[in-house]
Amino acid sequence: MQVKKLSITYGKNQVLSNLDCKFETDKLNVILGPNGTGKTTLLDTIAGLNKHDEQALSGFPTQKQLAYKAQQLHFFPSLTVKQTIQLYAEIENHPKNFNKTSTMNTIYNQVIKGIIDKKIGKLSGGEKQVVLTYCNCLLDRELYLFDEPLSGVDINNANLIIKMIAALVTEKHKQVILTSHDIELFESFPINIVVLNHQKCMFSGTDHELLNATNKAQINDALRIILK
Amino acid sequence: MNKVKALYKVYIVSSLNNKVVFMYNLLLPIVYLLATNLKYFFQPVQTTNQELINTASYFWAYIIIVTLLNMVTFEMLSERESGYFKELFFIVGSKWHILLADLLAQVTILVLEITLFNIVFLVIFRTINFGILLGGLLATLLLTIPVTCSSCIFLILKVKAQTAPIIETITLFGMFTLLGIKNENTLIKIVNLLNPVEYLAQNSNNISLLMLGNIPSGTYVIQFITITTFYILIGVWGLSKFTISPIENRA
Repeated sequence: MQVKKLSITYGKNQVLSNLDCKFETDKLNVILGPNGTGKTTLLDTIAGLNKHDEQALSGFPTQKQLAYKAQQLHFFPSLTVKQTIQLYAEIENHPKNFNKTSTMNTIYNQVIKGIIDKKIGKLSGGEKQVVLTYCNCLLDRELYLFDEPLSGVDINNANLIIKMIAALVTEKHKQVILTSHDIELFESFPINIVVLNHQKCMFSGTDHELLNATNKAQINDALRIILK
Repeated sequence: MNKVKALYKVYIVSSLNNKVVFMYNLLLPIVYLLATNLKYFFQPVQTTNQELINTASYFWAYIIIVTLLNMVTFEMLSERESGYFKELFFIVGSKWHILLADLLAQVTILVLEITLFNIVFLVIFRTINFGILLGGLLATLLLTIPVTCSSCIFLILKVKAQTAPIIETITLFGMFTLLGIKNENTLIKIVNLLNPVEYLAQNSNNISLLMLGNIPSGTYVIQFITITTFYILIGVWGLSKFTISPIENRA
């Protein structure tokens, strides 16, 4: 999946300018960058929500083949967790023996079961992240977009969410692009990093390539150099 | 249809949880009915079917238009601004499915509301009138789709969450004020024909009278088809222009 010379403007505000980057189909693609550098704008553009030059994006599935979990955690507040999960399952027309990944089963037993009858509106931010990410993983799509899936989540649940998202790539052979501020949590998975800053892509490649390019041993140190 | 069915259930749960809106949509017209007509319960007067249906039809028009504006059109604007229309769109895959599911849920609730209202109405006037009972229900089932389509004109507006209730109130006020203006001026007549409240009142009136054997004129049928087609075209256009992403807040 390739982005070539992508430029996006909101009114008078240029958000992305001649952006070039690549996303891998067999890795977790993580978009990093300071706040306001266009990470959500890039996801929105991939999702077909922003007008752009048709040649700028190639290799991406159509809008109908996308799942997109937005950054803001809004959903029907009066629905229970059970009703929300049922909605996603019914929309996908899941059979009773629908094949969930092992990580999804773990998350269900460890986290979701305990809050199954709680209303979505009464959940904490972290709990909503877990539930809505779980629900998005129930959808059968080609490409999954997650905007800040770890926002407001404690370290234990963050690890479970990452494993659940990574299983989409490793077990279900789907494509995933997500944004985050915390690259260290992803280090144990095969990742492709895209770093955005100043309207452009500062780096696009694997974590090893990033470390080699900056001659650093730690990813966060390498990122600091790239973002300078 | 699977997606519409799943989402329909969600909208029913969500709507029934919203008791304040239910009260506003149904209780207010019942209170107004009681305030203006309770005397007829204690001192019955002779009224014709036409008079009763004419009176009831304006109440139905109010209940239907307020429900559709609050729970469908402006609800979509609110869902967009809060970010969850975007979330819904990528689950369901179609703006049409979302609108249809919400509309079907509101029609279900409207059938209950109109039935309850009609029972109170018939008790007050101490009569059993199948024109009113069936007419109200048929009007709800036949007229909500074109009226919802006409309200989709608001979907093209770049409206912020705080502004939407103001626009809704002004619109309702304007529609009901226009009802009171009876003028031979052609422009005013055309504007009144296009007024969704007038459309609801007039057509539910004629549907109810049809139940009692009154066949409408050819002119009326042509007028009904023309306005209904115009409303549907507005709906298709309005929904196609409706943006999924919020205007004010990023999501």
